[in-house]
Amino acid sequence: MSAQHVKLVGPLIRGVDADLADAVISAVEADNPDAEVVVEDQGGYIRINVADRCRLTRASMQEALGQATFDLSRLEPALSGFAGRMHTTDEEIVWYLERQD
Amino acid sequence: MPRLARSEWYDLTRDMNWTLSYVSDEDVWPQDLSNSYGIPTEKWWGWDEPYKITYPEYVHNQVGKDASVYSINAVLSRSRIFEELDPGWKSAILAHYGAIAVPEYLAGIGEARMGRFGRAAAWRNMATYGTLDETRHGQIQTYFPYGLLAKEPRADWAHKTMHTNEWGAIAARSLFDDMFTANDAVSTAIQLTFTFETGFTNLQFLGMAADAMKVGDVDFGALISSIQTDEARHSQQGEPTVKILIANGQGEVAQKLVDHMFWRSWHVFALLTGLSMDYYTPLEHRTHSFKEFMEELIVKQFMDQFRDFGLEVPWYWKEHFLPELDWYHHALHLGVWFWRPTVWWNPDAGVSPAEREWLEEKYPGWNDSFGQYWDVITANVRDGHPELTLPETFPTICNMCQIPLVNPAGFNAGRLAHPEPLIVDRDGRRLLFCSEPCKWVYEQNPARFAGQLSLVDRFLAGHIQPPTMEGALAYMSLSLAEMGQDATNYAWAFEKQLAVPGT
Ligand SMILES: [Fe+2]
Ligand SMILES: [Fe+2]
Ligand SMILES: [Zn+2]
Repeated sequence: MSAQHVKLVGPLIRGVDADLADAVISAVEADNPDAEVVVEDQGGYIRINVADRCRLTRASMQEALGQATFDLSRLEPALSGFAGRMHTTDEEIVWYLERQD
Repeated sequence: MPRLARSEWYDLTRDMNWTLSYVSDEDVWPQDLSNSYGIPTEKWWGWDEPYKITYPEYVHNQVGKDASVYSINAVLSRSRIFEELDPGWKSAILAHYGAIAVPEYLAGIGEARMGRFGRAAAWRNMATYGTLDETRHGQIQTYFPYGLLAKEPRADWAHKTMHTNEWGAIAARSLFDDMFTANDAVSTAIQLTFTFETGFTNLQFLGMAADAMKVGDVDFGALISSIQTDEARHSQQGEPTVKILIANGQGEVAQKLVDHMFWRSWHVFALLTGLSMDYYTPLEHRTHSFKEFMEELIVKQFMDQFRDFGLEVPWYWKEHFLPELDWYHHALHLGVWFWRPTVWWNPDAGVSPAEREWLEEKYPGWNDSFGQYWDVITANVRDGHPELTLPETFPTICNMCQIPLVNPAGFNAGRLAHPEPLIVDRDGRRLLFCSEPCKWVYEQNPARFAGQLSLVDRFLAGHIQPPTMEGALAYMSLSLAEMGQDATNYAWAFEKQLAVPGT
């Protein structure tokens, strides 16, 4: 792959769950302060991606939703796909790709 | 009582692997049902799913997903939305239901096989959720079209298609049987979950959801994007399986399994998704071309993920796959429209002057290649001779993908070196292939495919009686009322080019 090939990773949220998508966008922005967050609204799905590594934390989701608790497993009904590989813990989801070429 | 964090008990409840003493491993995981590729049992115990979920979370989420999608359906089914949908879009959803609904149940068989014959407890756990997911997909995608029956009787092809010998059904069944109905658990994880679900389902279930929302078909868009939330999870059975194969020196096996199923999936989805996106979706609502969706979701997103494990793009990538993105589905569209009585939906020609302009913009050179066929068809329709646009003979069919050969159109478009199929004489039988990768897939495992008869093979073997076009249509379970017709009764042929200002 070429040197300019940017590998975007991160969630694709269902278009009918646009409210949750807004919260995910704020949370991803907060959790990846040094990265540019790419948002592409395709109607049926909303791509919220960051180059190479995208974090999404429970704390930021709670903050964005204004809710005292939000288990990250509750994301699933809106998570219609994602780019990259995924790593899940109680506190965060990380989408990532490692290969350098 | 303080609630335990999931991570404090997850592994404990999931990892129920033990060394067998009363029976042999081969008794419990026969190679035919679960090919270990020579990797010892304990090595499989390191299988760890990246997308974690517990049973309480699963049930909670699934109830919510169904409640939301069924309530949208309950409201919209009382509206006039379906009646007012564009005829081409209706064709796209009829094609979708026929090709997808019952295979979802079949995918449940594949998931259930991994749920029993997967080689680690964690894997069997994930596959059990997958089995429930696919049951949901089968039920919901037969229920929605059931609600359309009063408005569109051919919605019953959601249930009927896979029980017929309609040619598209034969092609889809051949693909899905190879991929999951008749596949061992380990190969299923690589071919169904890793190759197909991480790659191609995104194309049909996300790409079409994007178009659905623009078209205003919220019912269908909400449905398929919700299904895809299950796929996003259970497709993650592929990664840990690939990792174990690679870590134990079986990377080549994984690569070959992917190369095989990527090609087969590509051909069937060029047929289903390609036509729907570039010809059936009304022009004003198309978000991207099929090629653009392929580039976003497959060439980029899927391949980035796939190469991250150290696997490489399939051997046919540059020479065969990328070039087909420019012509293969256009050639299939011509064929499907021409043989329209042989499909259960109404093919939309989709070649009005404005649509042709869009095609030329998205696929430079379209007018000079495929446009020329449509010029002749348009002239025949305008001259009052639509019968000249209907078939009297059979196409040739590829003995691997089971899709009619469109090589002459590819050749005439300047994309193929020659118009003839590839011929292989093997065990007293002459086999025809549309492409080098189809031939390669067959030759990797001839015993697996030897019993597979194409529709033309069946015709020549006397299975189709009487041996006429009428006999073939009956063999495909298509009555006069069910046969496809032009979706707009040839309206596109009479649309005038917009006058150029000042002339
Ligand atoms: Fe499914
Ligand atoms: Fe699936
Ligand atoms: Zn083929």
